[in-house]
Amino acid sequence: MALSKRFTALDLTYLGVVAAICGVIFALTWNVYFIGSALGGPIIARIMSYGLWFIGAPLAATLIKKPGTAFLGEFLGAVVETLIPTYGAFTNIIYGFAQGAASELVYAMFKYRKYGIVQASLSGAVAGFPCVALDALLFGDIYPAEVMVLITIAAVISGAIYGAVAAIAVRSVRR
Amino acid sequence: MIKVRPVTLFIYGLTITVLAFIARSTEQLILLTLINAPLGIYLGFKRLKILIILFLLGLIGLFVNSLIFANSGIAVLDLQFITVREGAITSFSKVTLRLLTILGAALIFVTQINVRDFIKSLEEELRFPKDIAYALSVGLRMLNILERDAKEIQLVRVERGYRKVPLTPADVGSFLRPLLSLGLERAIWIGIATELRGFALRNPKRAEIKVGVLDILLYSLLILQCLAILILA
Repeated sequence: MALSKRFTALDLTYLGVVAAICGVIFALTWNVYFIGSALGGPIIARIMSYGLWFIGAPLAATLIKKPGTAFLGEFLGAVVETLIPTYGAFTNIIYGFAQGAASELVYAMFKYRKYGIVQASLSGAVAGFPCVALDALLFGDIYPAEVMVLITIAAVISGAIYGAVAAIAVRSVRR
Repeated sequence: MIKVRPVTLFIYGLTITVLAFIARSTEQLILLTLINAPLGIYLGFKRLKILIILFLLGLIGLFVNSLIFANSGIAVLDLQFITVREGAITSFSKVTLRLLTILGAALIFVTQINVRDFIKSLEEELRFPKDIAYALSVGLRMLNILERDAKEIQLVRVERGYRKVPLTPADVGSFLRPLLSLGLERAIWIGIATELRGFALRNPKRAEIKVGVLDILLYSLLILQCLAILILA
């Protein structure tokens, strides 16, 4: 089915707003990441910040509730962040693509029927895996095995928390 | 004034970023950095000085990270309280060179494009679906307004005795709600207006990718860098 048959102009405008909000949040998250990194090292930094970078997917999906919105919310947010630009530059697009695709999988698993807090939390959590993998692959962030496990858990927990925060925020606004 | 086409800059920036990650040896990374970083920093220094300064400050954290996790091999520098080893230097220099290349490519792209032309060329030349191009254009148009909203929310937070930068999930929630509410309020009317103007019926224009002298130069530079990376591999 063509995208234009599924999304109305209003849906796409919402998607644009989510992308802009994500661009602002993603840009601010760099400060959170650096503060976390300076105060508590790599694991604390990831718990504090990574979920914020995964927030685009649950935010868009909970708001628009249509197939493809999780991926587009995260990916377009990353494109906006690239154009701002921020510290991550073009890598944001690569991360946004991978994280968006991972988050989209969660909603696909639920056959696009449920867009609740659980799904939002899961979609945030799942985005942690490609993100840590890309960190290792792209930036050579490869630590001893036990540290890698802790880092992955930190990213997943952070994603789950901020996924839930995004869904709660959307629900409270749309009530 | 002759300008490089936005699509050319986009392809150049994205390919250089991918090349920076493919490059594994220090020689490959030095080559990419020497071509892209000085050009990008020269073009972006006036407009994006803060980003460049932040980048340089971030390198301190990167070095500390290398010292914690990659400090192995022959001792290079003995600072009494810590011995800096070969592994830390190699790891730090590789990541720094990679990041400098990416920053350079991004600065070349961002300083040379007009966002409106870029979105137009994404749809017309790279054949992006009109829905995505529209959502992106709304996002970029709303960005300035939402940045202003975000600053106002930060100001209100400070006035009420809360943290300016949201650090905890509760902070993020209280920051996100007004931002979302303001954004959606505006989005409703933009969306309705777009629908009424017949967005669903609009057929996107498709154009052939035209290349000028500067585009050819940039593509040639890109091909040369790709070849050099292959040779040095």
